[in-house]
This record gives sequence, structure tokens and C-alpha cells, in this order.
Amino acid sequence: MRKAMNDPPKRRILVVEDEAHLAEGLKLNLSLKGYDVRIAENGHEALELWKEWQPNLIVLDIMLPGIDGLSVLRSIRLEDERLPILILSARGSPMTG
Amino acid sequence: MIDKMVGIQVLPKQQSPFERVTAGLWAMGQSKPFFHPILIFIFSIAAVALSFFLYIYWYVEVSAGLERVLDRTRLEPDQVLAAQTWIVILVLSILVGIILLGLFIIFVYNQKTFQLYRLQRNFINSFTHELKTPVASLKLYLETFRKYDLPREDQLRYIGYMVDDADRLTHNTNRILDLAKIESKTYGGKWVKADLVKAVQSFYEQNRRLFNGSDIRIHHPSGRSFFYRINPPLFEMLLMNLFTNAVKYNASDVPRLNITFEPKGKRLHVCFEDNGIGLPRSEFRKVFKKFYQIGRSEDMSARGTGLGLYLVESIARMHKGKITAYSKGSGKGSVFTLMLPLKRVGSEPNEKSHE
Repeated sequence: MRKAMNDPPKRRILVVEDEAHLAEGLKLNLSLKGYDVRIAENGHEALELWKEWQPNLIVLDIMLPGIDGLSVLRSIRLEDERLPILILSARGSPMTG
Repeated sequence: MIDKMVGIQVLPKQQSPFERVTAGLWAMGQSKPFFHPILIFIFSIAAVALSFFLYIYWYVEVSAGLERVLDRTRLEPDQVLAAQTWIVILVLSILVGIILLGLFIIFVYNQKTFQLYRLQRNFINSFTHELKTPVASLKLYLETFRKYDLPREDQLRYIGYMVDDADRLTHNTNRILDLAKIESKTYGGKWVKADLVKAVQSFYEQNRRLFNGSDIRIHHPSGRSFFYRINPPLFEMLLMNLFTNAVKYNASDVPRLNITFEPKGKRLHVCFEDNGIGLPRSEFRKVFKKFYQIGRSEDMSARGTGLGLYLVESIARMHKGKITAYSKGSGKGSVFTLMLPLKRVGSEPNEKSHE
């Protein structure tokens, strides 16, 4: 996709959410908006995909099994200060972080 | 008091009225108390002991002075006075003993209440999460449907998710209703005499679709029937919890649950052995506590209501049995054993014909 010159590369969004339904719903909506979306179910996966796939934006759930969202945020911020990260609050309503 | 107020004010604003009310109740636990309860306890005991000592000291001094006065006035030295000193000391000791005992009991109760507050707070935290997640998911899909015209195939898939979410909500609210029923002893259903093996088998047959993809087997090597007076709705609640736990807290490709009926000595052991994530030794007893969950509630690593195994234990007790948890360690599966008294008459196979 990105190789095609006349087709601009899709922006990549990593959704970090362990609740499968919510993750898929977010992916669906963002995909319909024309983004390339991948899902990480836990903190480990999130960090792996962040390094490998290099998303342009991360939507991060705070309540995660294993490494929690804030630790993920900290690890990413240590290496990348500019990557936009959108935090999903514990109470289901969105807030920016 | 000021401390409590601060506790309320610093709470985040994005909370439901219910949470705000309950948070207010627990402000005491959330904010740091001025003095630790144990410190207060030790101080009051020291104060009581000191006053006890001073009472006796002064009393002895006063009586000694009185004796001297009696001596000087050359009145008959009173024999009763000496005897009374000991009675006074004895009565004071008993009274102080009662005060100390009372203090101790209040202290223990206070600690227990505090613990319950904390557990309940955990419960509210994780339970609101359990309620809000499916609601958030439902809302997300409904809004998506309103916005986009999705192909029928996709629609059906997402509607399937929504049905799951609704089921999850139903399950969670039912759990609370179950708790209320059990605690107020208003559960329905009659107590009937039934064969446990058959009860478990028919429960599994009826709910097989819920456990699709898992390998559940019922063994009863003795081939006997085990008749007990059971309350079918309650007993099914117990089984549902044990079955669901075995499958839910399981990271294996094929969740397995082996149920074995084994008469052991004077008891019937019904073992529910799974290949799930297991639990550490320190949690064997704690998992049955009300609102208790493995994992912390602050970071939401805990899931569920923390009521399932509490309900299981309550139901086991209502059936004059008990339940224990065992695991070889994390990731090595767990075994829940329901132990019921083995009645000689009730467990004989020929009992079947009388039923």
C-alpha cells in the first residue's frame, strides 16, 4: 500500500485495549475513517508493535492485564517524546493524555 | 474531620452519583488518618493501666494516712479497713479487665469493618468496570450503525457482539441479585433429594453451549449414586460458578475441567480440576472471601465481581458442606473440592428405588 506512489500511505493507529469488543469497535470506526489500525491486547504486545510497526498514533487503555497502560506510556515516552498517545480513561469516557 | 473533607474533595469529578456517595463513605479509608488505629489502641491501654496503677497507689496512700490519723486519735485500729483494701483492688482489677477486654473487642471489630470497607471499595471499582465495559461497547456499535451503512454480514457479526455484551450485563446484574437472595435467604426453589452425579450431568447437558470449545468430563469411578438434599437453583448457581471459573481463568488452547466424585472416609469429595491459570498458595483461602479478587483493583488487573467463589462457599455451607481451593502453582491449574458429609443410608445405591 505504502509502496504505491500515487496512493498516500495510510496513517497507522495502534489500539491498545484488552476488551475484544471495544478494541474491534474502535478498529472498525478508525478503519472506516481510512486509517490502518492494529490491535494490541496487552502491554507487552503494545510495546512490541510500537517498536516493529511504528504507529503514528496510539490509543491506549489504562486498565490492562500485565503491564498497565501508564507503564506502557512511560516506556514509550522515555524513547519518544512526540508520538501522540490518546488515553482511554478507566471510566469509559475519553480524555486526552 | 478536616482530613475527611479533603478526602472527599480530591476525588475525580468523572464519577456517577452512586460512586460519589460511596466514596464519601470511604473517605476515611482513602485519606490518611491522623493516628494509626493501633497507636490509638496502645495509648488507650497504657492510659487505662496507668490510671489503674494510680487509683491503687492513691487509695493505699489515703488509707495509710487514715490509719495514721486513727493511730494519733487513739481510736481502735479498724480491722475492716485492711480487708477492704484488697476488695477495692480486686474490684478495680476486674473493672479494668472488663474495660481492656471491651477496648480489645472494639479494636478487632473496627479492623474488620475497615477491611470490609476496603474490599467493598475494590468491589465498586471493578464492578463499575464490569458494568461500564459492555455498556461502552454497546454504545460504540450502536453509534457506528447510526453513522455507517455496513454490509449485512458485518452488521450481523457486530450484533452478535452486542448480544454478548447484553448477556454480560445480565450476568453481572444477576450476580448481585444472587448475592442479595442468598444474604436475605429469600432464594426460591424447594429442597429436594437428588443424586449429585445426575445433577451435575444434567446441568452440563443443559448448559453445554456455554462451554463450547472446552473439554469437560464427569467421572464417578465408584459408580455409586450420592443422594443429598439439594436446592436445585442454588446448586446450579454453584456449578455455574465453578464451571465458568475453570473456563474463564484459563489460558490453555482447550480449557479442560475434570469433575470426579470420590468417597473419602466420611466425606464425599467432588473435585473440579482444571488446566487453568491456577493460583498461589497464599490465595487458597482468601479467594472465598466476599468481594475478594486476585490482583489489585487500583490498576484493574482484577476482573469480575469478586463474588463468585463467595457465593459458591455460601451455597456449599447451606448444603452442609465446604469447599477448598488448591493449586500446584501459577499456570498449573487449580482444583476446587466440594466436600459433603457422606451419609451411610443416603449414599447406598439401593436408595434409588425408594426415591
